[in-house]
Amino acid sequence: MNSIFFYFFATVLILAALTVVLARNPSYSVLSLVVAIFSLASIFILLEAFFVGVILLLVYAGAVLVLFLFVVMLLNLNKEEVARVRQSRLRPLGFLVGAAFLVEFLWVIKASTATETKTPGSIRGTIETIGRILFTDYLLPFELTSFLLLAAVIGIVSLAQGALKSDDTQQLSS
Amino acid sequence: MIPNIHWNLISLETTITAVLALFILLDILIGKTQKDWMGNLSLVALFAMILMWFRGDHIWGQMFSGMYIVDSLAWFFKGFFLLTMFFVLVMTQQFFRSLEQRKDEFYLLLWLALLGMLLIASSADFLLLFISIEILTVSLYVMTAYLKRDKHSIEAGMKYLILGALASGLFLYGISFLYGAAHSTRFVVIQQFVADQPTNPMLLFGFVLIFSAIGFKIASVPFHLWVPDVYQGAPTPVTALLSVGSKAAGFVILLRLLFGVFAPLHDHLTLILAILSAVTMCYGNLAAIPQKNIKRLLGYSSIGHAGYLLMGAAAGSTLGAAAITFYLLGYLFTNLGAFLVIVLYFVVSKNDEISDYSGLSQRSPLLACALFLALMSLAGIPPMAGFFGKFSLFIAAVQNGLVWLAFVGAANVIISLYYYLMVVKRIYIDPPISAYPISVSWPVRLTLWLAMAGMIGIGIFQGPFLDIALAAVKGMF
Repeated sequence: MNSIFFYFFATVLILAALTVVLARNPSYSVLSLVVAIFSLASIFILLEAFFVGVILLLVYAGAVLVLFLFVVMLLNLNKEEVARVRQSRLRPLGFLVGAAFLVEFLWVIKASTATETKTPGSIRGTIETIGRILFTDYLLPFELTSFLLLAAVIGIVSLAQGALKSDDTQQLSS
Repeated sequence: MIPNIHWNLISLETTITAVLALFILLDILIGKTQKDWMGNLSLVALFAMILMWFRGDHIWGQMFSGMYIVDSLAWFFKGFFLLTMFFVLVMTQQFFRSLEQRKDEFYLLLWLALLGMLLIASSADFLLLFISIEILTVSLYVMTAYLKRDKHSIEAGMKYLILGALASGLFLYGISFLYGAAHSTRFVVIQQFVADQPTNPMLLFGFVLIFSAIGFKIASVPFHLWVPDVYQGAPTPVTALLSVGSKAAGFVILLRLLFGVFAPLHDHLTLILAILSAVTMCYGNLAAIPQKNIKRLLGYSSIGHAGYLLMGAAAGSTLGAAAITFYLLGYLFTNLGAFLVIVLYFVVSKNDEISDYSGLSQRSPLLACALFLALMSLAGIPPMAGFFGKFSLFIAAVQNGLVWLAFVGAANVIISLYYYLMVVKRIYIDPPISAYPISVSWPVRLTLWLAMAGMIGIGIFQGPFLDIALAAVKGMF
């Protein structure tokens, strides 16, 4: 039963991830990213990592992607710009590097599944265990993320405040 | 079980958090003033921290179950970053004098960047390392785009952000592979795993990804494309921080990984590192020749210096590691001295074009002399710090059988002399574009003298400084 669900969600995940990259309209990309995150969260829940799954849904599907959607819709990319990027001469090179990366990746997965004999048990990622680890073993990195957030907050404030003086706003509205 | 905290080991970092909290509070209380109180107070706090650094020497240990370590290498580089911060603070004070822009957030970001660098020097766990790198780079992204009215600055910030995010992604992906192989992010555990199974494919793949991300930080060749635009567009103090602080942070990680965690792999990596070093040197020095903007020129030259430094990494011996450390110490005084002159000249001329530097020697002999000495040290002319640094790197390479690499390095020194001397010709021989002398206030003058003393002193009295470098790296072998 579990494996049926796994294959179902894995297929949806791969299809959705492909749509993210291949869709012509950026808002379709963002929407299929929601589907991809949802199926990824489902796979985590199948592994009994409930907390990670829920956080993934709340943070990514809930907050980050809504933000993406706003940005994509507000940016209003014109078609010519998109077409220009698509015809870039570096595209074949990108495909080549991507293909090389994929082959290498598959080789690594194949080689390590051959040597790895033990199967991982369930992750059991409940809030209690994660909280306990965060406040003991990983106390320092956990506290330091607050400084990462502080840097981001100061950055946003300094970049956003007073960026639009009266003459700039007129230019934008015209 | 709550971990024991030894406040002695983490005193510098906790001081920074206190300074940040104090500044945010004072900023609200004081409000808008014309006085640069935050810059002056920053300098005072930094001097206090440098005193703490001297007092805390030789207290080694580890905390948080081996996640955070303080050893000779960490302590040396903590001092290195504090010194870098001093020069950058002086530059910031001068730089913003000429611009009508709030600078309080800039100081806060500088302190956060310093926090990130100090933590990088002490990280012995990939998770902590990642968060420290992010604290450093997120503050650098914002500082790069800080001049909102200058479209070059915004463009530089955008480019740095996008490529930096890619590098962070590669780094995290690499960590996930290492975790998958060794089931831990702790350096000691992974080191044990590397010693047991050096050819595990997951491990190698993870290493390649992590190395790419570090290549981005130190600006070595396949990952160097962001350097010229970002160096040119960023406010000059940020360029200085990028070229010295951020690069040195990259090399601390590289030293810890190549000589510590992945040391058993080093024999397989020698050739790759040597080729990367040669290509990076040649690219940086050849591309610097046609440059017209001094910050862009120093950007390409900093790619070239990453190449020289990688030579020590390829050598892989104790001498190689010590040579990297020694070279970075000389590079600190040299490059920051050069950038200080660029900042002071920018305040007067609002321009970074090399053609504008014509006749600088007649307008300000001190600035001209400092820039001349810095360029000579960057090129590697005998009495200067750059010469002995390159010399020890070449010796390390030759000792490890990489004679061809030392020859490539020597050829590059000659190429680099050409474009450095073109700038020197502008300064000393060409007629000045304006007759106004440039005045420099006495604290800045003292800083310039300190930079020059560093360049010459390290070059002449190599012995004690090489001993410091050897002592810093000996803990790893």
